[in-house]
Amino acid sequence: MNSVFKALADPTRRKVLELLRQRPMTAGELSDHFPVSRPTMSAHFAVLREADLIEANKIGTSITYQLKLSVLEDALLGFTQLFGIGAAGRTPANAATPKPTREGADE
Amino acid sequence: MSDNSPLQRAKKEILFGLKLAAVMIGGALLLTLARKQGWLDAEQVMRGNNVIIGLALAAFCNLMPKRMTGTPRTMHHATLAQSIGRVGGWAMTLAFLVWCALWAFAPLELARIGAIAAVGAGVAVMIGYTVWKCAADGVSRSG
Repeated sequence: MNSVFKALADPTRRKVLELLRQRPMTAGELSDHFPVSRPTMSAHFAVLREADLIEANKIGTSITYQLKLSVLEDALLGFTQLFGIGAAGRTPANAATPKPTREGADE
Repeated sequence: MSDNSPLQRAKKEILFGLKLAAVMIGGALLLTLARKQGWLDAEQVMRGNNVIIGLALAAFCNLMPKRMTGTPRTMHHATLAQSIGRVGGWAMTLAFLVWCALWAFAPLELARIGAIAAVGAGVAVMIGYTVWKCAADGVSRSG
C-alpha cells in the first residue's frame, strides 16, 4: 500500500492515471502530454508498474499501458485529484522527477 | 511485460479466495459462540453474519478491475475490457457496501429486501453496461 501512496503522491503520475482512465495508451502517446524527456516518463511508468497501478502489454509492435486500479485505489486517486494533494506549487511539468532507471529507459 | 505468470496469478487468486472464506467461516463461528454464551441474540447473529459476508464480497469485488488480466489482442479490446472491469468493479463493490450498511443499520424487513435489491441492481448495472458496450462495439464495427 505504501508504494500506491508513493505513486499517487506525484502529480505527473496522477495525470498519467487520469489519461489512462479514458483509454489504454502507448508510452509515446502518454509522453506527448508531458514536457519531460522519455527516460523520465519511463521512470514514472516504472513507479506506477511497481505499485501495480498500471499494466504494460505488447499489442503489435508497441507497448501499451493499461489501467490496473482496484476500486479503492480508483477512489483514492479521485480524492487526491479532488483535494490536489501534493500539487501545491508543483505542476506535472516541474514535479518530482524520478531517477530514470535502466529498465524504464529501455522501453 | 507482466511479471506474474498465469500459474502465480491463479495461486494468488485461490489464496485470496481461501482467506476470504476463512474470514467468513471464522466470523460465523465466533458469532455462534457469542450466541451460545448469551452475549448476542439470534437477530444480531444474523445481522453480523450478513455484514461479514457483505464486507468479504466487497473486498473481492474491489479487486475485480485488477483481475481482468490477459494480453489484449487489439487496443480496442483493451479499452473495452478496462471500461467493463471498472464499471463492474464499482457497481458490485458499492452494492455490497450498501448490503453491509442495510444489514447493520436498517430494520430487519427493509434489510432483507433492500440488500437483495442493492446487489440485484449492481448485477443489472454490470451486465447492462457490458451488453451495451459490446452492442455499441458491434454496431460501430459493422457501420
